[in-house]
Amino acid sequence: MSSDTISLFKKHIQDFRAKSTTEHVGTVLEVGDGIARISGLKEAKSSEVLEFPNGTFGWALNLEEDTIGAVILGETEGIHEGDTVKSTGRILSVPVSEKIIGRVVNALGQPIDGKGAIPATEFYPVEKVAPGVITRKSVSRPMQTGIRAIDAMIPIGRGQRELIIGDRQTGKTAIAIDTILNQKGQDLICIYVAIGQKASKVAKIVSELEKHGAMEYTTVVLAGASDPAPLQFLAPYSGCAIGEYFVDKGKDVLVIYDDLSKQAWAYRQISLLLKRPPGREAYPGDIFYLHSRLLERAVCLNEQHGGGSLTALPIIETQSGDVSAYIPTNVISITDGQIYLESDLFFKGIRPAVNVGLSVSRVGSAAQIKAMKKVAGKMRLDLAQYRELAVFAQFGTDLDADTKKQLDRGARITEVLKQPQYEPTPVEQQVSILYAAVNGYLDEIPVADMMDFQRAFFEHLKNAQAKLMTELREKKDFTPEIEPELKKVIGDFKAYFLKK
Amino acid sequence: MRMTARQYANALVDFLKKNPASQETAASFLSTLRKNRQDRLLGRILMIADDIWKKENGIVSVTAYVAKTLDAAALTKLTTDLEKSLKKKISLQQKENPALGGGIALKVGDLYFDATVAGQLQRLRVTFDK
Repeated sequence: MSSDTISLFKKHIQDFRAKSTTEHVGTVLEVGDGIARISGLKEAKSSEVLEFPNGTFGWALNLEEDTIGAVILGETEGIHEGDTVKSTGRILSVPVSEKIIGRVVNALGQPIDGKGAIPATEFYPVEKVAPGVITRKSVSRPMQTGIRAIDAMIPIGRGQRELIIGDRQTGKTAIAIDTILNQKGQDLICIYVAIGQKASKVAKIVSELEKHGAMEYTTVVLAGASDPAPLQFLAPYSGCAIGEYFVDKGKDVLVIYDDLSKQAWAYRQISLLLKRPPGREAYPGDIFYLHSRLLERAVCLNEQHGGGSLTALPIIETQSGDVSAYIPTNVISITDGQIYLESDLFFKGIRPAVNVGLSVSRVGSAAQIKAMKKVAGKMRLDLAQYRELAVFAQFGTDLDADTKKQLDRGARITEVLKQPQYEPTPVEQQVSILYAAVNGYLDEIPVADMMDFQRAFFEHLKNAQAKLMTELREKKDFTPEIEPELKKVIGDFKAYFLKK
Repeated sequence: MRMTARQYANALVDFLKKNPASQETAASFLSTLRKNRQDRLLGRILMIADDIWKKENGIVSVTAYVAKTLDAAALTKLTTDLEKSLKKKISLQQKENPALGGGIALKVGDLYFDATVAGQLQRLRVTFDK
């Protein structure tokens, strides 16, 4: 202990004067299933934090005529009937600071990675009214996911809300993690909120992020399957509050909510225990508002308000591909588009298993660089024609040359859109391979060799064509200088590959 | 329509104001609750009824938490002082808790005044933690 600390202690003890304090208190009437019913506390506000004698905090959710229904944010052991509950006068908030980056925290913002305390500079409320119209501007800057199928056909902009939806085991989390990996050096802070997931799965995700150096700009908020329902309900709001801290500093933030179906289940459980009337699928009446008020906090602020952005990628798990269920339709209607993943495509080996027909981005090409716009428009048309022709081609073998050419082109574009996990592609490499595909440069490459070709081509672009790639990344367009050179590079490499 | 605990409590107090308390009244009240399947509300109803009755009669419930039980003289002085400052009749109850160390804590309605040694040490600990 330093002498400064000792002298500070001495000063505090010398200055200590016996004083009384006044607090508002209530009494626990009943406790069970993570819910406490409290009498008294007539001054308590909605969403106020309450303190139980064992140091656990509660969250006042139901203010009734004579009692308060509060959810317990932690262990219920040690809370008994007749215990005194103190009101704190605080609205639930999470501690935030720059030091939270690279850490794994729980839904209350407390570290759970064993790396010590996180010194907080501020507290941000978990529930906050979304920024108003005056503070916003339209989404215009791309947020590259590094996934070719998404960046080309379902582009996401900074400040957008894009839903990732699909059955279990279709690669929803994989898309989210690849998107985080692709943000290295992109000046974007990532927050991954894991809700109701197995701790082993989250540990694997964190280790992958560490392995790829992505924890340097990422925070993980975890409310696992073993955590109480109130924490699972709270985690997305906490993740959003942490994101808002950085947005207020003018930074760009990406928040991934994995997944909101489990948050809805947790909220349903809490609501039923609080005796709120159940509605469709036993969800409470305000289940839409649960997600809309969270996702409305995604924002692209204008320059007068700092110019920061918060992009939201909520994930929803469907049951047997049913997108018309209650929660999926709610979140589809709230977000600015969806990436729909299909089990059939996944098992056919098309990974990421994105159904480009059902997927959409309502912000669209406003969030694409010019070069991508040029190749993506043509590609969408080619793919649509390919899908139509492929259905008819199943019934007959006599195909004219044009049809056969279109089928061949479509098959190659489909191959170009396949991508292994943890291998996000930089945007300049994406536009280069897509340029080659849509302009017929790959028509002579056998479909079976497409994966090898792509891998070798990317290596070549990275190592031997670094100057061209830098130019393409900076200019963001096929300028009269770049386009002929790119054509030459593709032609030369194709000749080399075919000879080999 | 299901009645709330407060509605039952109001009805009970109103009835007892006009009629003397009897075993029949209590039995009838309990059977009504049971018939309406609301007998689990009994505890809360009595608590609210007690509050209503005390409020109407200008009585304030005060609980004194002390490390060592107060003697009769101290208790009388405390009651007189509280009645003087609150300008209401006091129903004082004391609870002994040796962990408080010394001093006194008072719970008046929803308010908790803490002037105990334990409370002051706790505040000192919070200051050091900061």
